[in-house]
Amino acid sequence: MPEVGILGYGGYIPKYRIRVEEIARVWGKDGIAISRGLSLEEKSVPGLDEDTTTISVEAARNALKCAQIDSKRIGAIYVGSESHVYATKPTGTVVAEAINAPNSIQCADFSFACKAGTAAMQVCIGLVKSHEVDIGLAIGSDTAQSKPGDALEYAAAAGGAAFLIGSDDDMLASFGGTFSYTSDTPDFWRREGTDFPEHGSRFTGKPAYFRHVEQAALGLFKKMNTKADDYDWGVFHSPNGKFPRRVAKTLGFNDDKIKPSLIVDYVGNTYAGSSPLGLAATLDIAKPGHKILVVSYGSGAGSDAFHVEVMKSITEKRKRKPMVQDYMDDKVYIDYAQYAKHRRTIKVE
Amino acid sequence: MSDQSVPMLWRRIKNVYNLVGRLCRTCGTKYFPPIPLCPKCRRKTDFTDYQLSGLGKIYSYTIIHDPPSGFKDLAPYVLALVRLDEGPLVLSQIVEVDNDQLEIGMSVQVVFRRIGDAGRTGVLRYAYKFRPLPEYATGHIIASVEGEEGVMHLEVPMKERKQRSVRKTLEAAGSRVRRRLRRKKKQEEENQKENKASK
Ligand SMILES: [Zn+2]
Repeated sequence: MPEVGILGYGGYIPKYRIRVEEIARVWGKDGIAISRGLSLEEKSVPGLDEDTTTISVEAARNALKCAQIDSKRIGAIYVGSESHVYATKPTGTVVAEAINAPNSIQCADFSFACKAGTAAMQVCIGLVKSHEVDIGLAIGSDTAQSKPGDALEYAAAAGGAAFLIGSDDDMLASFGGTFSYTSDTPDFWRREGTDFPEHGSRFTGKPAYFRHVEQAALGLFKKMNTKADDYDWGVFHSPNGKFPRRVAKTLGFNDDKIKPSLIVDYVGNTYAGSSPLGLAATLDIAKPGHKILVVSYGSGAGSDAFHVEVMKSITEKRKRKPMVQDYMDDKVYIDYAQYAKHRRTIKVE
Repeated sequence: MSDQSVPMLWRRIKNVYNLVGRLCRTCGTKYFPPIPLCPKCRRKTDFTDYQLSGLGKIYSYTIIHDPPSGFKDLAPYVLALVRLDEGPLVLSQIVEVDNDQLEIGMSVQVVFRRIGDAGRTGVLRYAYKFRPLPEYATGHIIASVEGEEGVMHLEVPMKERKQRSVRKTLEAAGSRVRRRLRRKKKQEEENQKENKASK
């Protein structure tokens, strides 16, 4: 029996969408060219009363429905995001209360740009493996911020996914191993007290995303003694639709293997929610016995790679919660003016 | 709600995050928001916390165009009385609804949302709101089984909800959990026996 795995998981994507072309129209850019260049049609936008905390709670409640465990068994809650609503009060405290978790939990917020969610998963895996906690709840969620008119505005989206990590026999997937690759690479950052992130423009590609994702994947292959062909599915962090497709090709994953995880085309970059949601969408369709490679990327920079094996109970368990596809299909389009109100770039007194 | 003090907010967290009401064990009536005494039973009130399923129907509604301060950026928004499946009538905002789609009797589901605008420095308030029940809803978390095992998170499957009364569904869900817990306990005992035997 595997030592540690996923007992339940759940995703959440807000209902509102804005088309890339609509954003481009406002800034006098060629929307079709940008849409094609980024391989991005539209992105999700949070409701006026939604934030990283509410998205985390909805995802966590879906994960609980999926696992059907007693929430009093949870011993750790870690939420990874770059849009935590407080600078000091952890998002996890609200999540814990909203899912009836006990007070006797370890809790902290994580931040590592877009890989804060997978960092939370790694910590929960470690805690479960060392028998420090019975079940750990790891969440990656974001309502990504971008400067109006900035290139990031086309992709910065909202969404998240939650994973209940434990060692119960009826786990729906197991973690075979994880491997991380980290370096000091200033490709994207946001200073304390500022609203929007800055980025190193063209510096975000080769030395940042591609180097870290590739090195983490290759490191995991070596550690697990596997190769690309051993995996049925690949999940790569998706800042746009182009990067994950290109890195998949380099690593030897064909388009079919990454298709379920490429929700980015219609949801955008959900930052810390990106690879967790990609994994959730893949688990929604995977068959028992399938192997999944997951590689996140966080600017700054680092990547976490995971070897996931799907178990028998998945077919029964995943039906208990809404699928990622359900949230993708349930959408309402808004225009840029409504979008500005949603993102609070227009202030109401 | 935005005028509430921080301690007042803190005291209500359990109830407003999770729709925890009160059940009077004497007469079986469920209340939300929680009240101190059952008006039917008075001195014979025997209250226990009760987790509501979060499913209900719009009983009546109004659209707010000129909201109080702290709610300005949400306008226009829908405020409704929601008749919960378990009986209580709850005042709440309805989100993600088209005004022309809105109607009395519409099925709604609880969601977790931010309440009001806390500005850049205030404490953030979260609570229940409702949204139209989506087609893909698999059910909602209930936690009717309490005991030394703690609270079980269970859902009321949608197809059961349509076919049977909520009470029956809750009973069925409860016995499902109890069965599962019994099985688990039995297995644990057997494992212990085996362990002892192998020693
Ligand atoms: Zn009574």
